Amino acid sequence: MIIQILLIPALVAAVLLSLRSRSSLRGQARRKILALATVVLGVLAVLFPDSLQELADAVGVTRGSDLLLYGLVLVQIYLVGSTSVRFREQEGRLVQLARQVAIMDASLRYAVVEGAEQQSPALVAAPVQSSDRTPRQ
Amino acid sequence: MEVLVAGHETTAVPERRLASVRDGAPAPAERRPGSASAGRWDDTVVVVRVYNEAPVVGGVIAELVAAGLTVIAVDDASTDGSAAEIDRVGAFRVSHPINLGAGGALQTGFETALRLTDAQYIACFDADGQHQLHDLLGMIERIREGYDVVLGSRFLEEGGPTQMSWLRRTILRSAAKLLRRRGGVELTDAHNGLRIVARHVAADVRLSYAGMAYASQLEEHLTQPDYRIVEHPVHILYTDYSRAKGQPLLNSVNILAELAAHRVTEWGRR
Repeated sequence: MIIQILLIPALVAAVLLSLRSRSSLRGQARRKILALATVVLGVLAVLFPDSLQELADAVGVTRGSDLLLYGLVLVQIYLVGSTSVRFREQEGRLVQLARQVAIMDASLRYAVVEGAEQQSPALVAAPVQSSDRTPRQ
Repeated sequence: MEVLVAGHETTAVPERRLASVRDGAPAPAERRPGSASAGRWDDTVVVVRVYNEAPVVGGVIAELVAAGLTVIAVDDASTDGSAAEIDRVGAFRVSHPINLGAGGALQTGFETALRLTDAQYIACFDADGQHQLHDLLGMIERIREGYDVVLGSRFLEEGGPTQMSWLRRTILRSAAKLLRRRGGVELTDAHNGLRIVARHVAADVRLSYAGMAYASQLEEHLTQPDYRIVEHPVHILYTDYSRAKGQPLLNSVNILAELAAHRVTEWGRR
């Protein structure tokens, strides 16, 4: 069966690739190409319904709709994996944000100043800048 | 493989900011960690993670404070009276606006200690009362001998180790063997919450795991060959309270899955 030789590596690849999917520009571009290919293949499958069956016959699957199902499952697995990676990245940002809020809050509560050199730009310069800007706007 | 730092940029923590304040510059600080007492343990800050530990956290921190230690209590968005308890006993409280998990809380504790104190050593101590003060003090004396990292071990004790079920013992011992140790460091225990690290070590810690898998990540970082590391025998009190709060053994499945997923994602990345 050709389909077995195809499906098993595809399954492993779907898991591995999805976990390694990035939010980089290259990764985004790859996903867009994939989306475009899906649309084109979908249109072709609708226009030429027999082609799906012929493809199924070629790889040793009984029905064309079964082949479609296999493809759908692979896409689903990839989506779950890549979504979890994106989710984790978001979580990482949230953690850093919450940490900064917590430390700032504690510093204010105890009136701790982080080093004298930081105090002047943070506490003095900021109000001056804002009052400078407001009249101009 | 650089699992530890890859992909997660934590804000660069400037070192020793408060040193200038302490050296006599005018400081409006009424109170800050490190200024509480000029005692024997002045060089150490203790980070205590607190998540809904109101019944016990007050007593635990009070004992540390009474011994003259500076305590940074990281309140991980507790929903009970933990925050009030922390304030009552006089620890420096840092409260997360949302729950960040054990690793997130420890990282916050480290960053707070680095940014707001000039402590030389940063220790981790559990809020549930299972750690002993005299073990911690022994570890502080140990790290002063010139080590970078001192880890508590439940299996080094003379006269029989801490009481724990054989299943827990077996899993911990095999975890200690299986977990990756960099530089071939042989450790007898895994995931012991009682540890103390030198300031420069804490500055390099970047915990990115949300759940309990942070302990594996931290140990992998701490056992790198550049650090002088030693284990110190500690006794863990498994009280009914800590047992009820502690991790179920099945959680090791979560930890392994989290580690595996992270490794696949980060493998080969810079």
